[in-house]
Amino acid sequence: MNYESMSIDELLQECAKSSQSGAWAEFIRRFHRLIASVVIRCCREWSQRSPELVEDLIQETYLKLCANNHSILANFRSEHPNSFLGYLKVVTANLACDRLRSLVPKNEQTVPLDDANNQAQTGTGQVEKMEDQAFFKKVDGILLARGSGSLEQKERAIFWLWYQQGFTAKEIASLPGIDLTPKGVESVIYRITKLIKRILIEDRGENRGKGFPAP
Amino acid sequence: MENGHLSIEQIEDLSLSDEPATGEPPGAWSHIGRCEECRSLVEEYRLVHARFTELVSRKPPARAPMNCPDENIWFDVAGGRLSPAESLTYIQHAATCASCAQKLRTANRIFEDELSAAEESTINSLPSSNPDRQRELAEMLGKVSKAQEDKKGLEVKQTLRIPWRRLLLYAIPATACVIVGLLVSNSIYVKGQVQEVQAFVDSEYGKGRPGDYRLAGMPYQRNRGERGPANLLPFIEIPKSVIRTKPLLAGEAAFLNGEPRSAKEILERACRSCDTSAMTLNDLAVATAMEADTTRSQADYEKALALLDEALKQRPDDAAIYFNRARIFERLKRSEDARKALEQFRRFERDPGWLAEAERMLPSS
Repeated sequence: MNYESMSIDELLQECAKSSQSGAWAEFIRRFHRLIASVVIRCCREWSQRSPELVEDLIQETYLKLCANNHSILANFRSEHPNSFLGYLKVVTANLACDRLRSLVPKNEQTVPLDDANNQAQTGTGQVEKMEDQAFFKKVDGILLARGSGSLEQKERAIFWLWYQQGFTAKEIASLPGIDLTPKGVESVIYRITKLIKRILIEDRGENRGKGFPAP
Repeated sequence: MENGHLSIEQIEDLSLSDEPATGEPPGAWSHIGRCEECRSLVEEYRLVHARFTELVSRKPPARAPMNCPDENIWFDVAGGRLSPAESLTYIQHAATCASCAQKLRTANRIFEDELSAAEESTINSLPSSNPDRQRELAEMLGKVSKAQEDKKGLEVKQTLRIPWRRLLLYAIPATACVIVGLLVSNSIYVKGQVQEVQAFVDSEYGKGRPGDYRLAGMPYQRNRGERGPANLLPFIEIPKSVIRTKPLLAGEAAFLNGEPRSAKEILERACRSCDTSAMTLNDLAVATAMEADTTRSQADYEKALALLDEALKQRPDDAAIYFNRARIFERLKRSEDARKALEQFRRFERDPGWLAEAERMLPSS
């Protein structure tokens, strides 16, 4: 049987139904790098760099795919051509993180630097904090006032991911459902920022009727 | 210029810098130097712009928990496992929640398609990236799959076999135990019944034998005479089990119950069941003769004699058979045959009681 010419769905069915090592060899050939990369990155997030641990987690992922009569493969329903890749990433990441969570003692689990910064910031600059909150509320009010359609919601999310959460345009563009290129994300941010600036200035009563375009 | 003032686009552009860029026409800049309103507006824009710049550089303010979703959901979001609408809902949450945004960013980073050079190097150095190891891994996975198939098949078979296994494991031994138990208890019960009948026979026979004839294997006992309403004796209900297993004993009990007809039926059934031993034939002959004593049937006496002849073929030295033959010949008024039978009897009998009775019988014959 020529496994190399099979589509992903056909190969998955073959792996789920057959005990032929050929099907699994093709599966490993196609997806080993993906599984390995997810495991390596999970380990890095947990500050674990042992190659043995990485190997163990990779093997466990393969065994999990075989577990319960290949229920993971058998239950997979393809929604779009690359949906299995996302599915496999999620399966691998969940397994690796669950395992790492159980391996690393709670008191050794690291607090992300950003969280540490957040924690350090609380209680300092009370006035600044209040000003920030007021500004955030004002800007968010403008964004929400634009409407509740999916486009407006998406642009609001893009705006705050950029300005408040520090996501890059590339990171935002890579999120499922955003459906924009990094340039497209930058364009949205520029447009929304410009709009908000104008509205903010309008609201400050500084507009003197000099041909400001309507918001 | 609109209404003698700068356009909003010009004001926005001017707010982004403090002086004219190289090659930029100085018109707008000279206007804000003259126009208080436009200069003020540029300043306003600069302040707002500064707020946005601060917004980027400053971390989001700490906020109360926002009903954050389970942390594993961020893998589903980043992995594209949710519908666009669901995904957008979670992304919106993350956009205004620093903690969830961090998780989303981590998930997104883990799922990034592009590999860095370091990651490429790490993957290439893994033993599982070696083609030989991958072949071994594929074979192992194939074996695991086969083992699961076999187990699945076995489970199906086991599922199907469970009732039979249970039957074999429990029902059959239980049934066997019950049967054995029944047999044992029945055996004990039958044994008890036999013992009871035997005790009755021993007891009643000790009080005198039932009639003129002699039962096989029984010691000498005087004739107790016929039973009747005047001299009622203890009566025993003869169990079927005793009739079936010990027909001779059952017959003796029937004789002692004063029921030679019943004894004859028991013994005839035994003969039909191939129990044609000399003793059974002797007692059946006695029952037949006793019936003939009542009916005065010549034919019955002849039948009795024929049975005794059969018995003699088996045990030609049995004194009891000769004794009974003498009695029947006596009834049939065949004195010579009776005398010859008694002579035979004397040859084999050692019991003085029987010998004495035979002596008393001869004068009358």
